[in-house]
Amino acid sequence: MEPAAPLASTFAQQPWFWGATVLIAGLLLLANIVLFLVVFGRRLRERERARRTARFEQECAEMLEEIASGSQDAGRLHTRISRLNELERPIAATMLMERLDPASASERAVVRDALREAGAIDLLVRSLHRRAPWRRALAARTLGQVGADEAVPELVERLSDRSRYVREAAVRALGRIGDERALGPLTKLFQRPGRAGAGIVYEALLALGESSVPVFREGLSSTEESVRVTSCFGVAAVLDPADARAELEPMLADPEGAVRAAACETFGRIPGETVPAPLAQATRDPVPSVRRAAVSALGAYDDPDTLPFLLAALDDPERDVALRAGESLVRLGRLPAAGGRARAAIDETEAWPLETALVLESLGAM
Amino acid sequence: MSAVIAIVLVISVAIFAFFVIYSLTTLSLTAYSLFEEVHQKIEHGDGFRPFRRPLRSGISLVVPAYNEELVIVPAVRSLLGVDYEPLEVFVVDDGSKDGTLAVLSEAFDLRELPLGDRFGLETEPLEALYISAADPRLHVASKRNGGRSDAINAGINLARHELVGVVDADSLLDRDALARIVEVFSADPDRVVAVGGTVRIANGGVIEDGVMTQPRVPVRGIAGSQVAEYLRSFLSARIAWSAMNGLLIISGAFGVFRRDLFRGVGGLSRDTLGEDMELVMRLHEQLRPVRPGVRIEFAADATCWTEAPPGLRPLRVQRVRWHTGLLDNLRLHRRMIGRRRYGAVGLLSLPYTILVEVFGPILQVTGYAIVIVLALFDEIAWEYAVALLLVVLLVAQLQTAAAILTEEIGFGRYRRRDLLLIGGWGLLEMFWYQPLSALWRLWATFLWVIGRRPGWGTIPRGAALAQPPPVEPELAPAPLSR
Repeated sequence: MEPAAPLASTFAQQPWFWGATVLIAGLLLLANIVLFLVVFGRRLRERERARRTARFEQECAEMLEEIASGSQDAGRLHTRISRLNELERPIAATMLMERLDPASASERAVVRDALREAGAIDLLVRSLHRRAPWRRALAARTLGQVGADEAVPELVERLSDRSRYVREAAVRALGRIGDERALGPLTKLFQRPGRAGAGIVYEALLALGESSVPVFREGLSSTEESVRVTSCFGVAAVLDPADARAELEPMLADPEGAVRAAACETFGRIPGETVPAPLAQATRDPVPSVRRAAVSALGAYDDPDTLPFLLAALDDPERDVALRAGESLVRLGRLPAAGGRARAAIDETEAWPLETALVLESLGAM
Repeated sequence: MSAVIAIVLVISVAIFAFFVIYSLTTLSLTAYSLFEEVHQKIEHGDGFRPFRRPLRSGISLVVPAYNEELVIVPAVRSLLGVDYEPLEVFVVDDGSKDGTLAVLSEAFDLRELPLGDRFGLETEPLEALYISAADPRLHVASKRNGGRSDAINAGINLARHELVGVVDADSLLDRDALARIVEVFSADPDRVVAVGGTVRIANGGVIEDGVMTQPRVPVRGIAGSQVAEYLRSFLSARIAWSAMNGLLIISGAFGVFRRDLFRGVGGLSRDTLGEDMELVMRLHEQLRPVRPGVRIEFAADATCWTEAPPGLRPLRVQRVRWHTGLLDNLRLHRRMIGRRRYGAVGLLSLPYTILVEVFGPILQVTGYAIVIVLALFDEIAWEYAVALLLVVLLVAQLQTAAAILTEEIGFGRYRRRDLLLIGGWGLLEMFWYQPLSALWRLWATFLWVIGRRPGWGTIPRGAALAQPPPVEPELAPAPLSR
């Protein structure tokens, strides 16, 4: 066994070995110390920030009270706002947003005018160009909450921000402000998904009301599957129900299952008096998610013609489709025109999905 | 004799080379995760709350339960209290021998539902299905015992929402855990197929109304060392692997999957002890060649609190099981190793796992043995050994320190005293926890090679998560009988 230890000993006697060991160990020790110092230094800084934040929050609450009541002196407010430091500005913005969240449009307008007069809107617009993405996003959200329509061009610019978080904050802000100048840029974002959450852009477009109708109509023929899906919901939300059903009927024959399922779901949200034949046929679609959505939608149509389709769906090979068919039949039983026949069918049919739906109904879970 | 010396020399050089590669790779991973967390902080600032998405998916949570009467009621209350809609919770009682079903029935006023049929995944038969009259979002199924995977598959068969989550019965979720995990799906709905949350240790923490209000680091070594280990392996390393899209595991304690894909690939395997890892590897293997952009992600800010084994014996049982599962899965999915079509999984995660997790324990224990033998023969070059030990200690401590910093920057969940304890346990575990862990893993490797399967074992539950019983009002003394 002798040579193994001597080999190590020989290493250990070399000056380079100790030099290298000391260097590596020294660097590792230094890195360890630095990391622990950063951890505990950060802790100390956070404690100090929390203390200053608590003190400032009280002061800020008074300032916001003045603004909301419209009793502020614009000059004095301007001085106070311009003196806010790096810690205080985001706190003030966040508190302002929380305060405005439940506010009415008129209360919001009072605050907006006060902030505008005090130069705070300009400050927020300038903050849209700050280096830290969270500060840009916070400024965008605050501008949206306040409803600062003068910030629309700057917010539109933020739609191409490199941070997704900022882009989505800008989309939401533009939706909240509801200015038609945002329609074009939001449409582009909607048609090319991936840069911001599809649901967020959809909501912002909805907030623009009737102006968004052509966007959703056009979206129904998009080459992007996700755009067609979202457009189905958009059309159902902004158009008159009868017009929407006419627009959506061709979507029940879309080659993609996800689009057909979305179309079926929207038909359930805007039911007419008679069930459209393609919707009833969708209960036999080869894709389970389409059948699921179709069967659920049929429960909203006060039309006895839906009954045979729902009864057949109780035997669907997918458990969830069968359960939804049971639930739809029970719902149908509550409707005036189809209710009598539906209740009779329920009494005559022995099927576990129906039994399940009746238990759910008795518990108020439907 | 010269052959023995040559072998010892070769092994020593191999151990040294392993140590150098291990140190460089693990420190790189730790540095990468620290970078990612700092980047997130710059992006989102303090107190980030995900946007409320208008078109968010519903979640069905599946909770497998076997002999969980001590913890199941607070665990279910915690899940129903999570801030997320639409939500449904399926508890699957996997043939418990204790009063799991009875305590659930009493606490949640269960009513029987028809069982029905048409279950997609094959499982042991269901015996009964219930719905809670107190909260109809809760369903309870009881079935013949078939193991954890079987119970989860049975729950997935019943689940009705687009996303399915799996949560262990001895775990608690933070109120915003589901919203945060769904944020990852919503941000990239076409590519993200599964997301895992962070699993942290609940032992010693303060729990109020099913919510972890103040996590604490246990003073006892076994649970304390696991806190340090979970921070390094379950938080820090997974942040880095997720950023590279090379995540090999979503912890069984808390993960969310797309229901169609979970069912589509056949559900959880009943043939491996590492079923959670196996499912993730199967998703990679089946989906990546046909959908190259597919992602399996880790949501570091979606937290699940779980009870760590409180003693050495249950810890050994758990670790032997984990390691056997790992070896099973590496064998089952060996086709991906080194293959470019599997991206970071084939080229980075699997080679790293084989080196560190498979060869690591073998080389580690061999190294300990060589040191002991050389010490017995008084053949140790002490200067060399001490220098090496110092460097090993400093590397391990650096990894722990970086994990603590990642935790502090991203989450700041622990008190200052707890951070010091984590640092302390991180240092001390080198002398007892790491060698023990290596020995258990080597034992698991041996059992695996000779074809013997360890059982699931029983891990005592309840000490960390069970709520203290309500204080009974003091009764007036009964009058003495006359």
